[in-house]
Amino acid sequence: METSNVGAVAQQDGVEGTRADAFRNLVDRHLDASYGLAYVILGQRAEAEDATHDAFVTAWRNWASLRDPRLFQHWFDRILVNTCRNRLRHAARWVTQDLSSDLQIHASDDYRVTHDRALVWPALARLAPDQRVVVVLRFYRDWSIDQIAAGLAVPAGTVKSRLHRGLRELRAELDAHDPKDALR
Amino acid sequence: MTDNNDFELRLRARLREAAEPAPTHLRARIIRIPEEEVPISLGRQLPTAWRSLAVLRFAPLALAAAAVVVIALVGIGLVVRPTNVGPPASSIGRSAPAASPTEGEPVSVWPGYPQNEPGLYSWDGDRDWMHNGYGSGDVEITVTALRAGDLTGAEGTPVTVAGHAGIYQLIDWGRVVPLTEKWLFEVEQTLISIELTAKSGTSPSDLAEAHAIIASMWTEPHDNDLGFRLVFRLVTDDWDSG
Repeated sequence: METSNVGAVAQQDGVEGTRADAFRNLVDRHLDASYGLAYVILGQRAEAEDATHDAFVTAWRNWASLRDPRLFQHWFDRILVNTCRNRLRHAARWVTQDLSSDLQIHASDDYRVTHDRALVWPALARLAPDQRVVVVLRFYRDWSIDQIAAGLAVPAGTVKSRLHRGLRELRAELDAHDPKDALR
Repeated sequence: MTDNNDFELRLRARLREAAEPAPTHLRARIIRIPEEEVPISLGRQLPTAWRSLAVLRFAPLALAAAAVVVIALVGIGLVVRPTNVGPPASSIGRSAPAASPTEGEPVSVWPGYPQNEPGLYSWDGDRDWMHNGYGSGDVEITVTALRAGDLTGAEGTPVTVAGHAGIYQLIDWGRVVPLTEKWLFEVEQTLISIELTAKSGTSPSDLAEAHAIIASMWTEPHDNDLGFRLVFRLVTDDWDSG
């Protein structure tokens, strides 16, 4: 993580007239990672774009609440994840895309990878929004249980139970589709 | 390696291979955010600002419906705090808070993720947001403690909110985020920001309910880091947060 560089950039906020420049520099540094997180959580490019944009709007509007610029990544991740959760809770308005159709299958891929790829995304899409968010933060972003709890403002025990249930349901979904070759 | 570890490694690999760079047009869209911020002072630029809000395309009808809902809520005693909030021309506000009305009535902490019952809730200092997620999900309220600063000279319309002198801003973000209203006021050297965001197409009744929640706010001394808490009333069970 480039927290020190980010902090140096964000420190420019203290100078009148450079807030927009600092914001743009932070966008440059964090946009790809942020969009990637939103895409994995939401499973739709259009939704991920809107969520990422809205999160940056929120960040810009609440710039003054960024008390320690070195913590921009963590601060912004919380905004982004909450934005994604908000959109997921209204998932009835749109259908989650099966990301597996977007991923190219290479001849070098072994059978298990191809098999996983075909099953993981539909199974992930069927998880409850909060379970999906926790699973993605844990296994895509490698956040610890405590980090997830802090990010979502819920107790660590809640994170553990959501993660446990999410993983259990993922495996059950995969088993149901292919009992012999499901992820184990 | 255990089955669990194998499962988790493979899950991690599949998640990470899905990530892709942000599209160029998204980068261009986000870079423009600072340029698109146009804080609007209602007193000076109300017509221009409101014309640009899709949610208020039928502004006269929407305002009339909102007024009916607010009056109905006040009439049945659900809006208990006589506080001047919302657009300055709003009829919601009246005077400063009287004695704490929490005596004898339980106050829950900020609404949680599960469906929350109507009643009194309090914000104790952490940044929190809630939305009517068990309703339309179209309106969201965020309360944030900011660094203390002198509000004198800040752009906006003077109002009384939660029993304190503050300013009100209607922020026009163009067509992307249709309506944002912000109330800023200082309590015990803490600057409090209350932000209401309504999606395009938000119903007048949803907007009126959100205004009623903010209108119901007051502060009272409390044993926490801030030294006070912000108390408000929910009148439906539509609201939850993260």
